[in-house]
Amino acid sequence: MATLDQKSPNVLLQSLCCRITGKSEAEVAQQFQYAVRVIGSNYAPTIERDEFLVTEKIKKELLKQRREADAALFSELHRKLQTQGVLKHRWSVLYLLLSLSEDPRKPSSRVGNYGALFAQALPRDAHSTPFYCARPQSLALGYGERSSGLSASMATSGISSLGVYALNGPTPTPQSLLAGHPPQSAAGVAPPMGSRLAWALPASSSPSLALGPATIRPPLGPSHPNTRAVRPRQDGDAAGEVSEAALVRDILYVFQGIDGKFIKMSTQDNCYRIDSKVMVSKSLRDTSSRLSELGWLHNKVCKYTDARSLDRAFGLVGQSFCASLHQELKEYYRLLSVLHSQMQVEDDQGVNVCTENNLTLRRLLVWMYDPKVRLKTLAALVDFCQGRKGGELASAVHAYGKTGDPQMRALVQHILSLVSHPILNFLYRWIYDGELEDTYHEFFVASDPNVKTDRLWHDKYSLRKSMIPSFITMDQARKVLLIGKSINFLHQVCHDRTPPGKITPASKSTDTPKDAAELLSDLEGAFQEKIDAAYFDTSKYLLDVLNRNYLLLEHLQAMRRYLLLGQGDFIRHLMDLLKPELARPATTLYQHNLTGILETAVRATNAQYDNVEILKRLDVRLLEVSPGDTGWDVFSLDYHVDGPIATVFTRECMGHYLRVFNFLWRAKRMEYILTDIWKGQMCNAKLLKTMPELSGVLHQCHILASEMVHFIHQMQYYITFEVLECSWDELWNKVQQAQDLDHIIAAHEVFLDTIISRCLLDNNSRSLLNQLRAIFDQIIEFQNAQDSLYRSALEELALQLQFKEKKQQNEEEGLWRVTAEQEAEEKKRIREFQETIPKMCSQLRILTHFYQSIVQQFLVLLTTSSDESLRFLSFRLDFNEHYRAREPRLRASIGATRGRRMSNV
Amino acid sequence: MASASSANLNAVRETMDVLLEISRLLNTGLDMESLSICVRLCEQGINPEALSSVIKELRKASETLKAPENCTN
Repeated sequence: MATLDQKSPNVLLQSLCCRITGKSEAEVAQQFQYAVRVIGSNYAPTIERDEFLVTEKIKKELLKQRREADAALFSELHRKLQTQGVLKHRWSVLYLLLSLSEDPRKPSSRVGNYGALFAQALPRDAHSTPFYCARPQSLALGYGERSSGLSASMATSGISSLGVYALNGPTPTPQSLLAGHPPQSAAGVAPPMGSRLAWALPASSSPSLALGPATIRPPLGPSHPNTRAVRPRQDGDAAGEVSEAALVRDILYVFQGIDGKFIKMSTQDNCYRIDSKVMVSKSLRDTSSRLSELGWLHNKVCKYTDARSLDRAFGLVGQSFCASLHQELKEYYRLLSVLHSQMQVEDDQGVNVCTENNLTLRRLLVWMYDPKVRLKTLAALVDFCQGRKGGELASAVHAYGKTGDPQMRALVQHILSLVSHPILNFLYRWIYDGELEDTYHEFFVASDPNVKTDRLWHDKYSLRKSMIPSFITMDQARKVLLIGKSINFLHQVCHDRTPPGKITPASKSTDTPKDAAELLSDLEGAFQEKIDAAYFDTSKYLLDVLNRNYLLLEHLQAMRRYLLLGQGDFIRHLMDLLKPELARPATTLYQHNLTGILETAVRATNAQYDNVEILKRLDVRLLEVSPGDTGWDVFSLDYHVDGPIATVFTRECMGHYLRVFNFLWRAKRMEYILTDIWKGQMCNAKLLKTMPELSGVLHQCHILASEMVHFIHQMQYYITFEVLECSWDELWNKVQQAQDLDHIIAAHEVFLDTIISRCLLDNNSRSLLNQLRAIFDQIIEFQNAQDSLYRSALEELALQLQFKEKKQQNEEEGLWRVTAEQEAEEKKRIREFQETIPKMCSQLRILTHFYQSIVQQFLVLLTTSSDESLRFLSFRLDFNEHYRAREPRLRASIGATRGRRMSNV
Repeated sequence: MASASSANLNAVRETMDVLLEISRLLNTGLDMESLSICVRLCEQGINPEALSSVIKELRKASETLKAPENCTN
C-alpha cells in the first residue's frame, strides 16, 4: 500500500468527487472544496475505533434485514480480510461501508434519503465543535442502532424524528403536492427543498458550493413561505430586495465605522442609513438604522481618541483617558470579531441548519444593546470632555459616575480610575516628595517659577481651581497644596535636608490604576486619612524646625517686647537716654549715635538677658524727615527679619509693626512728658509758695496737668490691656494650637489687624487719630507753656532772692540797705513780672479751653464708634461725667446710644 | 490502484475483492474505483464518518443536478 499512500487526501478526494458526480474536475470544484472542508474540520474520528463493534453492527444490520446468509457471508469475508493484513484501518473502511449501506428492499428511498441523512449528518459531522465530539459516542454505539434508526425514520416520516429538519426528508406533504409526478421524481424533488434550506446560506457567502439560483429554485420554490434566507448576497442589487444576511454583514462593518455596501454614512444627516434606492423592507430598514447608531457612536469615540492621542500637550490625564477609551473600544472590537467569526462559521457550514444560532438583525439588536449603552456613555463622555484636560477632565468623568445604573457606573468608575491615576501620582509625588512633575499643567497645584524664595510660602504655589477634580474636596486640595508647600519651604527656605521619607512615614504610592480605583472608592476614608497623616506630619515637622532652629516663637515674643513696648524698663531707660538726642531737630540725628544709645539701654536693662539672636536683630530706624521734625517724630525701633522668619514677619507685617510702634512710642512719650510736668510741679510748688501772685496760675496748671494725666492714663490702660494684652493672648493661644504655618501666619495677621484698628491706625478711625494727635500736641504745648512759666517764675524768684541777699549784705556792711534807685528798679521789675502773669493765665486758659474742646470732640467720636471697646474707653475717660456736663452733643449722643441700647434690649 | 504495487499486488487485489464483496452485501452503491479511493483515504486516517457524509452529499448534489433536468424532460 506504500504507493497508495503517496497520493494526498486532497487528490484522492477530488477524484472521488469526479467519480461520484460523474463530472470533470473543473465542474466539481465547489463540491470538492466543500468536501475538503468537511473532512478537514472533522479529521479526528468521533467514534470508537473498535473493529469488533463495527462488524457486530454490520451483522446485526444484515440480520435485521433477514439476510442471514449474507451475514454469514460477511463473517467469512471479514475473516478473510483479517488474515490479509493489508489494511491498517479495517474498522474505518468497514464503518464507512456500514454508514453507506442501504436496505436493498427499499430501492426507491435511496436517492431521497440522502437529504435526510445529510441533514442529520451535518450538525453531527460537519461541526468541529467539542459539543459534537461528545455526542456520537453514545449515539452511534450507545444504542448501536443509528443506521437502523435512520432507516426507520426514513421509512415512516421524517417529521417526528427529525423535528425541525422535517422538510428535508421525503415527507408526505411534498408528495401530495406533487401528485402528478412519479414517485421517483417526487422523491427527487424533495431534496432540493432540503438542499435549498441547507445550501442557501453557504451559497450566499461562499460561492464554491453554490448550485446556481437557476438550478436551486425548484418549481415549488416561489410558493414557499420561508424566504428569509433565500436570497444570496449577489441578489442585493438595486433591482431586488436586499436580504437580511447581507444587511447583517453590512451592519458588522458599520459597527466599526466602515461604510457597508448598502448602509453608508450620510454626511448631510450625520448618520448611517440605507441607500434610499435600495429596496428593503421597512422593518429591516428601521432595525438596521437603529443598529447603525453604534457605528456613529464608535466613530465619535474614535475621532476623539485619534485626534488626542498624538497631541502631547493634551497631557497625561488626557492620555490615560484616551487609553481607557481605547480599552473600551478594544472590548467592543473583540465582540465584533466574535460576531464576525460567528458569521464566518455560518458561511462555512454552508447550510442554514440551526436557525436559532443564526445572526439576524433582531438578534444583533438584542446582543448589541449593552455595548450600545456603553458606547453611548463613552460618546457622551467624549462630548462632555471636549476641550477639557487634567483635573477638569477627571471632574467631568467623575460627574458621569453619579448615576443609578450600576453598569454604567462601573464603566465610568473604571475609566475614572485610569484617568485619575496620573493625578494621584502627581499628588503623591507632591505630598511625599514635594515635587511637581506637571509638565502639562494638569495638576491642581500650580507653581510660579518667577517667585523668589523669600515669597515662596505666600506666592509661589497656588491652587488651580478649575483643575481640582470634583472627587477631591476644596479642603483636601488646600491641605495637599499646604503639604507640598511645606516640604518645599523646608528644603528651599529652611535649608532642611531631611529626606522627605523621614518627615512622613511614606506610605506606598499608587503604582497601578487598580490602587487608584481602590482609593477612589474610599475617598472619605483611606484617602482622607492619607492626606491628613501627611498633612499632620509635615506641618508638625515644619513647625518644629521653625521653632527649634529658627526660634519663631521667641521672635514673636521679641516683637511684643520691643516693638510693642512690652519690655517696660528697657523702653523707659531708652527714652531717658534718648531724650536729649531726640529733642534736637531730626536733621541733626545720626543713626550710629542712636544705635550706640540703644546698645547702652540694652546693656543696662533686663533686655541684656535676652537671646543674642534676638538682640542682634534689634536696630534703630529713622523715618523720612520732613521740615520742622524733631527727633521724636522720626525715631523708631526696628527688628530685622530674614530667612524663614520673614515668611511670618513679612514686609507688610513689619510696616504694621512700625506704625504701631510709632503710635505707642508717641503715647509713651506723652506719659513721659506728663511725668516730667508733674515732677516740675512737685519740685517747684514749695519754691514758688513765696510768690502768692502765682498761685492762681499754678493752680490752673495743676488742674490741666491732672486732666491730661487722667486722659493719658486711661489711654495707656486702654492700649495696654484692652488692645495689646488681649490680642496677644489670643495670638499666643492660636500659635500654640496651630497645626500648620498658615495658621500661625493667619493668627499673626489677625493680631496685627486688631492692634492696628484698635490703636485707631486704620482708615476708619482717621478722624479719631487726628483728635488724639491734637491732644498729644496740646500736651506738648502745655509742657512748653508750663516750662516757660516756671522758667520765668524761677528767674524772678532768683532775682528777688538775689535782691534780698544784697539788702542783707548791705545791712551787714553798715550801708544803706537799698538806694532809692535800686528800690525803684526792683519794684519796676516785679511789676513787669506781675504784669506777665495774667498773660500766662490767659494763655493757659486758652490752652485748657482748646484741650478740653478737643477731648470733647474725641469723646463724641468715641461714643459714635462702632467698636465696643472704644465706647468703653469713652466711658472710662468721662467716668465722672465731667465732659458730659459741658458738652451738649456728648449728652445727646450718649443718651442716644443708651436709649438705643435700651430699645435693643 | 490495486495494480500499483507489484509485491503486494495479489494481497491487495484480494483485499479489494473482499471489500467490494462486503460493499455489495451492504448495498453501498460504490464501484471499484470509488471504493479504492475511499479505502485509501481511510488508510490515511480520515474520519470515516465524515467521509461517508461527504459521499452522501456528493450523491445528493449530483441527483439535484439531474433532477431539474428530469423535470424539464
